[in-house]
Formats: sequence, structure tokens, C-alpha cells
Amino acid sequence: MFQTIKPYWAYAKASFTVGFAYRLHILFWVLSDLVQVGVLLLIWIAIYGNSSSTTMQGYTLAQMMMYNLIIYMTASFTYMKPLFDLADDHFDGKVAMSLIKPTKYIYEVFFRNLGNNFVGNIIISLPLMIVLSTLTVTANHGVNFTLGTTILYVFSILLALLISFFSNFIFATMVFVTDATFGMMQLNEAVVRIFSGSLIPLSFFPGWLKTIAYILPYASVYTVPTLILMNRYTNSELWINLGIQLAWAIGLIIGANLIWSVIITKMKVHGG
Amino acid sequence: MKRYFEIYLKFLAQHLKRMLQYRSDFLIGAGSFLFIQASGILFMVLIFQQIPDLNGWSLTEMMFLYGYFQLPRGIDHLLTDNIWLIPTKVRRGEIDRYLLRPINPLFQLVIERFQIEAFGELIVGVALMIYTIPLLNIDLTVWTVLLGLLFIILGSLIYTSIKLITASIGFWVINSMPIMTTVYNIADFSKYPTTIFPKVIQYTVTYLIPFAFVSFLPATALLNRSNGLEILLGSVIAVSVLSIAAYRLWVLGLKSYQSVGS
Repeated sequence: MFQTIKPYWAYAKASFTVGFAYRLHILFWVLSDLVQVGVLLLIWIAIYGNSSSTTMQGYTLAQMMMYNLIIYMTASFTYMKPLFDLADDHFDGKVAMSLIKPTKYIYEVFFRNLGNNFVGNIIISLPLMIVLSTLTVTANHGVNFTLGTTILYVFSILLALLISFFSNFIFATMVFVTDATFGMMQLNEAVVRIFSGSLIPLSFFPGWLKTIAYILPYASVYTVPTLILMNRYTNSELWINLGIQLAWAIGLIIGANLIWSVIITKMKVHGG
Repeated sequence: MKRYFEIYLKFLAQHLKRMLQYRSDFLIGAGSFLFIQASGILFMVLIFQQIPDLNGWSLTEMMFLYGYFQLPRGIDHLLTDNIWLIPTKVRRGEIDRYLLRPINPLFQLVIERFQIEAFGELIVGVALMIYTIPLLNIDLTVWTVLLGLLFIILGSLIYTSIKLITASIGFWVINSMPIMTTVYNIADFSKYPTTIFPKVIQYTVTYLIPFAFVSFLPATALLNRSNGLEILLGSVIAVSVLSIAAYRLWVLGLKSYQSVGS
């Protein structure tokens, strides 16, 4: 097992080194994210100010703000964007090179993304985790991180990471069919934003929309870890959701491999 | 002037040909923009299930504002999107060729790209206008229509100027792209009534980075919540100051521009 994974770490290490070289750059991107999160938090303050009740769908204002921050953190913990790699490799004809290597392309891309993901974790997610933990300990925001929820959160994040990568990978293979990088990227982001719970908690959705959200894998990437950390699940709900995550992870790994094995037989590479 | 017009038409014809060639990219691109807009509208609809109004703004008015916001943004997107590439082009030394031709460098740069995906934003904007205007108490006189169109033109000029200012910073720093995105994101405040935000933000988006003049303030004028002439005057002042500053900065940047080897 260790021997088979070992060669792939080189990919992760390489992309980590490159990503870390641009850490200042990433900090600036965080700044622009902060504006967006800030707009969202201020809107929620205004929304609760106009409501006659202090809770909405079971969230107080403080809990809603925590929800938005935690889901942002969860998004950056599970950030995997194989679409960039696939589009680059597709248009440069580099996929051909990857096919003659003894490593498998799909896992090569996975580890490349993992390297980048670690950079984000060091610069954004972990500091944010520390800040949020301090916030919940020092003041009562209706959310308490306990040792138990934190451990379950980490476990859930690991599964979410797999789901995030392999679902986006399947989405990204459509670049080979459509040749539309920019469009696919936007579309992927839009679908994830609506159905993951990062736009608004899924409990605000009407029934039919909720059904779509739970048919798609994105709730398992964003909503499930977030609600675990916020301790909003009963015991049975918790294990059911973790089970669904596990099923998604396994199903998507198998699915992505199947789709990929079909695509490489159909693909034409020019030059490279 | 006539020459510039002819050149523009030639470029436009090329872009349209390319669009027809890569039809799927265009359709998916425009479709994805529609999807992104849909998420914003969905958010508002779901929120208004919980509250009757937001600081005196009804759902219909909010949707009007949201749609109106898309129009100047879409026009700016459609016509001048290539300004986003200035920082990259400076870094790679690709500004040289604009300086070699006997046409205004900024004009050359801008006509290089025609961002047809922006039709996604424009379609949503127009659709929301058509849907909300009959529901609202807007009297469609020649004056309001004219005012509305004028605000859209001024609004897109505000977008373009702010974009050019932040892009031109790229002549002096290694990569001004994150600055561009950060400032561009501030426009999001103007998607909602700015009065729901703290005073600091209201002043910032009105006087410092005047995105409020792009959609929020014009919308209040069209909805008869404020004096149209005052807003128009403010908008004209904002556009004049910003566009002159932006062009000056761009020219200054070109002067200090040093190419790279090879």
C-alpha cells in the first residue's frame, strides 16, 4: 500500500512547493473572499433585523453567522479543482505524456490537487479554525466545538475531500467533450454554490429543491461536515450522514475510474 | 473617428465568426452565467419567505434592483473585459505591440476581446426588468426611460474606469489582479439596497469607490424614492472624475512601462 502511494507524493510535494511560493498571492485572494463573506454576514444582520422572530429555520443570528464562517472554512478544507489540470493537460496534449507514465493519471491529478489543498489549509483553513474555536470558547454564539465534534469533523472532512475531488473530476471530464473550459468552470461553481448549502442552509429550501440537493453529492462535501461541527445532528442522523458520505466517496471513486477508462480510449491527442 | 469605427466593426465580425465556430463554449458560458444569477435570485426569494420586507424594500423592488445591477455590469463585461488582462500583459511584456501601431493603445487592447458570455447577465437583467416593471409603480414616461438608459451608460463607465484604475496599478506592482478582484467584489454591495449596511460601507460605496451610482442610487431614482436629477448630477461627477483619473493613470503607466527581454 505504502509503496503504491509513494511515487504519487512527488506530485503533491511539487504542487505544494509551487503553491507555497505564491503564498502572498493566496493571501490577497483571501482578502477578496473576505469582502464577499463580509457582504453576506452584513446582509444576514439586516435580514434578522427585519424579522419578528429571533430564529429562522432553527438558527439564531449568531448561529447563522457561525454557519457561514464554518461553511467557508469547510469549502477551503475541501478545495479541489481538477478542472484546471484537466483543461491544461487537454489543450497542451499533456495527457498523452501522463498515459506513458507508470502512475495513473487520475491519482496523479488527485495528488497534485492535494498539494495545493495543503497550501490553502496552512494559509486559510487552519488559522480560521483556530480563530473560530477561540470565538466559540470565549463567548456563547450558540455553537460549541467539543473534542468529539472536532474529531468527527476532521473525519468527515477527509471523506468530503474525496467526494469533492472525484465529483469535480467527473464534471471536469466534460471539458474533453465540450472544449469549454471557462463555461464549465463557471457552471461547476454555480451548481456547487446552489446545492452545497453555501448559498443558504439547505433547511431554507422548499421540499423539491431539497430533494435535488440531497440527490447531488455537494451537500456531503459542505453541509454535512459543517453541521457536524455545529453539533446539529442527533446521534442517528450523524451516523446516517457519515454513511452517506462514505457511500458517495466509494461510488464516485469507482465512477470516476470507469468514466476515465472510457474517455482515454476515445481521446485524440494532437502533438504535445 | 470613422477609422476607429471601421476597425471596430472588422474586429466585431471576427469575434462573431469565432463565436459561431465555438458554439458550445458560448452556450455553456452564457448558460453558466444564467445559473450564477439564478443563485442570487433564489437567495432573495428564500429570504423573503422569512421576512416581509428588507428595510422597506419589497421582494419585487429587490429583484428590480438586482436586474438593474446586471445591465451596466453586463455591458462593461461585454465590451471591455480585456482590461482584466493588463496586469498579465505587463508582466509578460506584451504591451509592446499596442505601442507600435498608430491607433490609441487602450482602444486596441479593448477591442481584442468581446466577452459574449456577458449576454447571460444581460438576459437576466432584461428579463427581471420586464418582469418587475409592470408590478412596480414606475410610470414609463420618456423621461424615466431616458434616465434609466443614461444611468446604465454612466454605470458601465464607472465599472470600466474602476477596472482600468486597478488594472493600471499593475504597471508598478507585480500582480494587481487580486486588487482588481477585491475592488470588483465590492460592487456586490450595490446588488442590495446599500442602506441596509453600516454607515462606513454606505459612505465607501457612495464617495470612495462609487459603485452605489451603478445601480442602487439610480434604482431609487427610478422608483421615485429620490430626486433623479440629484443622482444624475452625482453620477456625472463620479464618472468624470473616475474616467479622467483612470485614463491618466493608464497613460502614466504606459510611460513607465519597460518591456521584458525576448
